[in-house]
Amino acid sequence: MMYDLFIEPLQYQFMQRALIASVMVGVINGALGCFIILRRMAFIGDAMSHAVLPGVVIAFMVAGKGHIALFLGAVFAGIITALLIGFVNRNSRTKEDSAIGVIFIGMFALGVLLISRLRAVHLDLQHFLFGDPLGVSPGDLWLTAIIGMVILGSIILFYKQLQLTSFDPTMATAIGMNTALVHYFLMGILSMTIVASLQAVGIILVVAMLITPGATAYLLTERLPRMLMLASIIGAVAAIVGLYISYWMNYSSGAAMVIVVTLIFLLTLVFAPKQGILIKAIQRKRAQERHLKDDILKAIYHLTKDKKDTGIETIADYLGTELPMLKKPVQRLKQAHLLYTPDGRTLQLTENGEKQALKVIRSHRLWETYLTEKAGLGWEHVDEEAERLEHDLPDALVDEIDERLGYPETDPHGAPIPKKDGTIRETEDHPLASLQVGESGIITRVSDQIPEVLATLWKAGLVPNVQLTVTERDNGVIHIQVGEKKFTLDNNATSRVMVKKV
Amino acid sequence: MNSTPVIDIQNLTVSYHRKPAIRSINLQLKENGIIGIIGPNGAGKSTLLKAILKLVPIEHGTIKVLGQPVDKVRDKISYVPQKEIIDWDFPVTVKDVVMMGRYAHIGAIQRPSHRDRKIVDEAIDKVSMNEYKNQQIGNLSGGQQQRVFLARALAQESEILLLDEPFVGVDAATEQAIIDLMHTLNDEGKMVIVVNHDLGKVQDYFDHLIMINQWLIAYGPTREVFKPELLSKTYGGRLTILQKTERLFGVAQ
Repeated sequence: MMYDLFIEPLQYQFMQRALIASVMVGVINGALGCFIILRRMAFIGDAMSHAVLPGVVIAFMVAGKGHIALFLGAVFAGIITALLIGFVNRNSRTKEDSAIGVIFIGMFALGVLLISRLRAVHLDLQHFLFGDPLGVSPGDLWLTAIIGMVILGSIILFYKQLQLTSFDPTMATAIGMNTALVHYFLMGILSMTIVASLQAVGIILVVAMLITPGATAYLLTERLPRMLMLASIIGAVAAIVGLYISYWMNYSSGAAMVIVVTLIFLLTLVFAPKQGILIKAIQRKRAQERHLKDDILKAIYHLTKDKKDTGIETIADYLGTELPMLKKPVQRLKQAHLLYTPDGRTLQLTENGEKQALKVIRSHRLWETYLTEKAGLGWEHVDEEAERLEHDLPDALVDEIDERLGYPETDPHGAPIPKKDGTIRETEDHPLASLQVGESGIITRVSDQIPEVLATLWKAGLVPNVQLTVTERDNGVIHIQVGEKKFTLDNNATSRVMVKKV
Repeated sequence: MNSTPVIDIQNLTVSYHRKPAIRSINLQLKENGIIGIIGPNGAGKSTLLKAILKLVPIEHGTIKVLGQPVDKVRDKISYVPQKEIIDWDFPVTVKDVVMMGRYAHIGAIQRPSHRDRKIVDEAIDKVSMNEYKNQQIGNLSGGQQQRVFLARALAQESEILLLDEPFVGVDAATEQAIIDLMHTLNDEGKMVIVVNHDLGKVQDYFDHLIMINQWLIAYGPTREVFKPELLSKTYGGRLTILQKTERLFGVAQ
């Protein structure tokens, strides 16, 4: 079976040559393509592949189907194109991408025009446009091999120059590297690569063999040498698979190779171990679950402290989520022995559960303090921001914030901040609503959840450490006096302001 | 020490698209000490550094470095660019980047020698980035990234260091590390020139100041030129000391 599929075709010499040529084309394009991608020149790559056409056709008209002539013609056309693009870009307002667009289509059209005149002498346009690896001659093979060696040799010899001018052209110039020379050199070997690829994939599709293997490798590694290796391998594999597909199913070989390499790219895009879409989605989902679990523990901590019910319905209410959303995370928290249900219904924190809750609360309240004190955010907005920032932080970072703030005792709303060792000094306080007429209290903290209420209280000066006296109560509305000023608070506010009786 | 200036700038004018960025600047730098370049946005601070290296087209004037045209002494100058121009996704590790500092000394087709590797390791060590050696640079915090570029400049073993806004987006520890390194280098007799836009620490950091606003406003010891008259001349009416909001967000990953 394997023999029939892969080995049997190789008894034909044309197939052997096609295979060798395709592998070389895959490797050369893959390696060179890495630099084209890193220099963000994918568009130039496309342009060059089209622009060499007139050079090839003119060479054919002058010298017939001699390999060296075709090769020189292509390189010449390539360099002319690169120079023209540079010239137009430098000497007019035309931006580089427009210059590329104008020049390369112009050159390509010139090539097509010339070919249309040549039809009489049987130069097949198809052949240039889409390639024909099964028609590779021994001479073609030699040309490809020599070009391949020149290109891979240059990449190895001038790795430093290629790397630095791609990564940091400013520094390259500063230490005396000729960045323009490197650019034109690259354009030169790019034209050569395109000629080498003409036979296997053709002008139209060669850009895919140039860009896609490198783009795939870029998703898989963070090292340039490895990226070059991977791109070459991917290029070769795509070329081989594409060639066999075209042999057995009689598809255009260039198109088959490009389809294979595109599929490899798409699969990598989804399944890559670090950059893949799938792994990122999984990580996002896990993070959400982790944050929800944190929030549940926190909710139970707060509700317990306020001596409220901690049934799962109350928690869903408190967090503003749907009950079914909580079932799985609660189950997990129980399995992790962070929660238990003494009466089969209400949820209680275990010792470890409380530790975890306090850790998140510590992070939350430190962020609130940081944002008000250092970043100048309003009192009423910091809760939302802190809600986003509190999760997944390394302890060291939270400790650093603590240190930078000078180890504050309470957050801006007066709530105590748990210490590094996991202890918290909860204040003995009660809702303002519990004060009777004539009683006085000092504001200890203000529940931080509703920005509008907070903003109003802040403007009125009702902030922690302010002393107030209740002067009148009726129907849930409480009249208070602070110094000379008098305020009337509805029960929206009185249930959120916590006081210590004096 | 002879009296040839380390950097000698005569009548320098640089323009971008016919709009002058620097006008007729004359400067002879030879003093020992760390030199700061200050001035408002668009004053040509970065342009001045780049002009020294001929990274921008010079319209008029001459620049000599160590008594010679800059092209002859490029291996003796290291340049730390602004962080914004770097592609942080580029597949290079900390070690790779620091090794680039050696490229000026390695032949065109030669590979790094054992000695180059040793110098790179030492430079990484000096900025305390040992444990991140093999990290891709995009995985680092802002301060760590700046340290890597500093290590690259160190590995270059140059006589002159040009730093463009090295304190932007770095944490306090890195800022201190940069300052300490600048002093060490200066003690070794190297010239350190720093573009800086934050006026807050100018007096602590720099021994000499170049104050520019396209024209050269003043050059001299910091205590002599960091004066209200010259500052308002440099900054025009625009001198508003902006409240510096510390940003810690960069640290969280």
